[in-house]
Amino acid sequence: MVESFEFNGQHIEVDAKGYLKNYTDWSPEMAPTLAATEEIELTEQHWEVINFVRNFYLEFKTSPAIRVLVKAIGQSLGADKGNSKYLYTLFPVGPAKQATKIAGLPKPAKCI
Amino acid sequence: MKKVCVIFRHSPIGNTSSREGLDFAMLSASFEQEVSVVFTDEAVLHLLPEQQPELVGSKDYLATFKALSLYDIDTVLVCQESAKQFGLKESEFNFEAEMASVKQIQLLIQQANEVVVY
Amino acid sequence: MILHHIQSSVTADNALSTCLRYIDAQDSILLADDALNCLLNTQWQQRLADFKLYVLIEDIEARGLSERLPQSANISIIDYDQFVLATLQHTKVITW
Repeated sequence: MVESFEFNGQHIEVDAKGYLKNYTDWSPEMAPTLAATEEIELTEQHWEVINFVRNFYLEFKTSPAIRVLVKAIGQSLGADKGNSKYLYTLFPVGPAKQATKIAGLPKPAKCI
Repeated sequence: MKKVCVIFRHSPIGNTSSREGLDFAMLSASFEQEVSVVFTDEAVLHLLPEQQPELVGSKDYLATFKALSLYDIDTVLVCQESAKQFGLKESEFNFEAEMASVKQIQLLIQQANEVVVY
Repeated sequence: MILHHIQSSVTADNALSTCLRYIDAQDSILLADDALNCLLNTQWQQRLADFKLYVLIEDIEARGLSERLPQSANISIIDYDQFVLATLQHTKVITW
């Protein structure tokens, strides 16, 4: 069964868990709507991570698993942000899971 | 921590076995196994730059090989003999990998706890 | 000591050739399914002459090859239980 929602008059398809079927359907304006389904209100800190996973996906065509996300964020945004405690403060249910959903990406394989 | 060696021996694009192998390698690395990767036979063509798998309806999983080092997969060997057969040089590799002799690959296979071929 | 498991015909797949490139002199090879047909070919018999080979009795009889396989000291004909035993006697199994 294909789920979908309306956004700016467009039909956006998502999977059973609410991840976008097609990552090119995404736009930054859509992020707050997706974040609301995770009960997250976006701040600048959230955006930093969302942009990061989005760029990661565009470069590597895969959503980063949590361990890789922590490592790669540490390398590019600094050690104070490249740790799971900081990322869990922003995305309490699971940074890789929630940040990729809000960034309009597929769910990372077997992630926590 | 187990030493897992993942060997790719099939061509890119025309079949899905390499995609499965890549998923397996990254998953094993996520579960903190010591993963190494070998490209042999026609699979050395994975290293070719400027491939556009989407043109023939395949997912661009080749870009994902560039993320191997982020998954702490640092041993990526390419069979020199096979590379020679397909006219591939180390300087044109599309992601970080090292040309290796048959002897080097034999050693890696012997030292691994598990060897999985895709 | 590795047990190399080949399960496709040499005319359909490079598995056996690739295996032979990386095999160690101490290792053994299980020629299962259509892989065993190559033993009818003298060139392949020669390439494999220095390795311990296993073939499954079911595979041989299913293909009517009982009288046609070469009588050679390096070839062991085994049943399924002996195959399980062989996998345990090796440090690992690689399925090519």
